[in-house]
Amino acid sequence: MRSVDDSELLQRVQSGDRDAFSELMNRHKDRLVNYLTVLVRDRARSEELAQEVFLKLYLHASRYQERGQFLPYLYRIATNLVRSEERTRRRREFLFRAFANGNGHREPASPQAELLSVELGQRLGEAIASLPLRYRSPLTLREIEGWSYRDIACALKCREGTVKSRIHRAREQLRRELEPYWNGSV
Amino acid sequence: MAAMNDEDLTKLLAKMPRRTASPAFADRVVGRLDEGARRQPRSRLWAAAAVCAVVIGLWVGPAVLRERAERRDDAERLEKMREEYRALQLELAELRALASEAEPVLELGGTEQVDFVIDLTQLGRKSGQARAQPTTHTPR
Repeated sequence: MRSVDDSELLQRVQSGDRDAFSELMNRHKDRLVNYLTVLVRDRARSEELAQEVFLKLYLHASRYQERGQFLPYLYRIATNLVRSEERTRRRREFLFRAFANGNGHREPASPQAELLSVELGQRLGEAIASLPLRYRSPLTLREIEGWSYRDIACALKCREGTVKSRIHRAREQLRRELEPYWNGSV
Repeated sequence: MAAMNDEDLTKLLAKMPRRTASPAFADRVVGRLDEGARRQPRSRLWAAAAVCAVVIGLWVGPAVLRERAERRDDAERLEKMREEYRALQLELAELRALASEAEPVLELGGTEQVDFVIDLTQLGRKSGQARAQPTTHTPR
């Protein structure tokens, strides 16, 4: 029901209705900021990215084709922004490493040494951030935002089977990375 | 150490702290939208000007380069012609010098003791006289 309402609001945004835009923004800003925070692991940057997502939504509202899939459309914009930012960052890091003549490899800290001082939640955040975006994004949408496989597939423009396998691989990787810090209780 | 199972991971993920947008979020977006709307006409103008500059550059640039190359070729050709002219002038001067050094006489033959020559300079001076004055010349 909500997605239909969203689509109606977006149709009003397409004709320049600022109030409809504000309403859409207020409905989705918190969840979008949370999604982006998990993806980029930077509170301030995720807020900036979320703002850019809404700006893009407003400026390119005419590109939206109504199929009752507003949320996947919104999150696709967000995921593409993160992808583009990460690509730029990787390019910069590559150049930096090339000029600094370093290999950029960081030695992992000893789990035994940090076990007592670092919370599992923090480790979880780091482990998610270390996942490739193609795993990170569907995992976050499914496990944290509670989306259906169908909507995730729609947002990420891939098949449901691909979404499932990526989430499975992401969970495997997370378990491997978190196990050294796992004491048997959540 | 206990093994982490699927359920544990799901619980962990579900317990992750949720972040929310700051209270000023919507105002900032609307502010950026207004700012963009104010800037847009000017930025479009700049974009159009930049496109025009690029097009003119692409159009005029090769023509300018071609003209420069042609001028350079012309200048090189002119310089070659000047050098050739100077060389010819030098050659002509040398020939003139050689000609001025030559004795204006006509050798008619002679014996072991004497050569018979006609001094041609005498011809010009005594205009009206049809015959040249023969003169002698000591053999070389």
